[in-house]
Amino acid sequence: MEEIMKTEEMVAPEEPIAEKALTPPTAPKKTMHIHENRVFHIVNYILLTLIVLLCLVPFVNIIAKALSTYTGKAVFLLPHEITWYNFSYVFTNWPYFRSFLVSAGVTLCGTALSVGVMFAAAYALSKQDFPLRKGVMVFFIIIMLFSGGIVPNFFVMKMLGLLNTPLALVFPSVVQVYNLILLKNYVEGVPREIEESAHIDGATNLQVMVKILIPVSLPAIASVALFTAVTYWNNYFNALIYLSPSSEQFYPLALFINNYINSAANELGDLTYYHQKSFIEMAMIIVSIIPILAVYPFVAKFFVRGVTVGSVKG
Amino acid sequence: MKDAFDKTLKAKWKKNKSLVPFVLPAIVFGVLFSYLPMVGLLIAFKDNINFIRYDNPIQAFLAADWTVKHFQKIFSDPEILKYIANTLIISVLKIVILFPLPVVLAVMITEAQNRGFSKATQMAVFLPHFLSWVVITGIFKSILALDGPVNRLFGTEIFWFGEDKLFRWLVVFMSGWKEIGYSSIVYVSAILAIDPNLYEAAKLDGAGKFRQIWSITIPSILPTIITMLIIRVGYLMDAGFDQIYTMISSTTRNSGEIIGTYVYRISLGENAGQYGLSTAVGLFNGVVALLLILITNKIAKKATGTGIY
Repeated sequence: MEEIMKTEEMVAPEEPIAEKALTPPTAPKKTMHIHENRVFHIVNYILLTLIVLLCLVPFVNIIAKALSTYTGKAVFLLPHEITWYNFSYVFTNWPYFRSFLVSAGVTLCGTALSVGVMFAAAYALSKQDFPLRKGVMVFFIIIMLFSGGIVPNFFVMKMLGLLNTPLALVFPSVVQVYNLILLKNYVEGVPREIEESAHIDGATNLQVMVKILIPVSLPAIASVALFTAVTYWNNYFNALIYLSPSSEQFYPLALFINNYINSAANELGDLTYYHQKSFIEMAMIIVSIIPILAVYPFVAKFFVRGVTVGSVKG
Repeated sequence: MKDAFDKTLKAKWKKNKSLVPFVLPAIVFGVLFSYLPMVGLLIAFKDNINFIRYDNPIQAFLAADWTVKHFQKIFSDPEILKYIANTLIISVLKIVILFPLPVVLAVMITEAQNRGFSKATQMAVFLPHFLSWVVITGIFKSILALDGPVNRLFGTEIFWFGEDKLFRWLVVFMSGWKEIGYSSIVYVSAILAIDPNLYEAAKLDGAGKFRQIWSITIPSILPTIITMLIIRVGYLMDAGFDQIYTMISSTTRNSGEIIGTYVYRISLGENAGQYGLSTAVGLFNGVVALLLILITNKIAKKATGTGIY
């Protein structure tokens, strides 16, 4: 606040210039504005704090629930009778752990494959005189704008023999056209001279790409990789349509949790479990978002750049 | 003329053919997982396709009769028309209620002069975007449960996720909770790009904060706002499958079922098997969506000189 006051004071001596304005401010009006500005900033800070709380309170609430023993009372921000029952249930639940591993594997393989394939294509398409460059770009943009839909996708996967395999969770999301455009724009921004001198020294395209362009493009690759990883980690749609209940050993974590939440516990079974189930769900959710929280600071560093890079070039 | 073209193409080919293997994997994945399914859209014109009797989908496809009855059904079946209406209503509600909010949030974030506070705010409000809809819906189902904190706090007994009348509003609210923060990024960077001298001049003219926002900030980012709005309208047919699939139940289907969830339900979901009709509805939806995107993108390019591609 002090800083704001200072700038206002610094402006004050220049009053004569202000008189040239369309609506010349009078002296009392000026003080009114300073007052208005102070109120504006106070209200702004309060509202922003409330918005931040609105975003974070649900997380505090689910953490409290995940640590609570069921007492019949609603849990707000603090846990009731702290217990590790819910978390230990999650950590000793083999299907949950299995789904966690499936998601981790699919995310790692999918991200590596997708970013690799997209970067190679971006490298070739960044060459202005690549044959049929425009046509190939149209080929990819059509993919971004139109798709066959659920049934045709399902039967193509069936024909390819990929139904009920983990590959069905990886392959359909490999082509990420938005990432391709982003990487292509980035590579186009790299000075040609570096590449050309390497070519004169007899380097092949592959060597140029691996030894020169990939190191130079690391910031773009890292941001694209993080976004792709989040996409793979959160995806449940592919599993929903390409995996039948008989191959639930390949269910990714998101689908496993969704099904778990929608399943009912048996009142006649383990009574502790019956009471704790809704809190176990929260523990499952928390464990599932830990990988995202782990990479989030890095994602946050990149995403402003990602959005601007994508929108600069039409 | 054509000769010259052929020659340049040949020269280009000769010079760059060693680069072709670099695009090839991407093209193969595109053909297999995007273009082959597009050919599969012909299922929309088949009657009683029997994928169970024939193990090979192509045989099943060839054995079935051609028909256009699925498309006739789209325009005459009140149930399908209702789901199309739901899609449009939910989309329009999302645009009307949610579209302006990221602009407001971006102005607020950029007006907060404490950099640490501004950064922390951004970190907090962007976070929900990176979580899966399964997680978001799970959290809200728990908070809004019959014996959950919200009902206890207000002394109510509302079954939030089971009330047909509330469902659309819940969809809009949760969508806003997840995406408003992230959607503000583009406006934040647009506002940060405004020439600070404009504000200095306005201050000298005695303009207050609201006046500065109204007369400098908003006009300066108006092209961005218009572009984003036009692009958003282009996605009108997409009411959000990932979100609604995790939220919907049989009691909220009346006002909540959208084209996407219906297409899934009658092909592979609860009422599986109606492959022809499902594909036809999906195709109809896809074509309308494509036209909308192409038209709105043209308008965006004309209006502001930028588009998405």
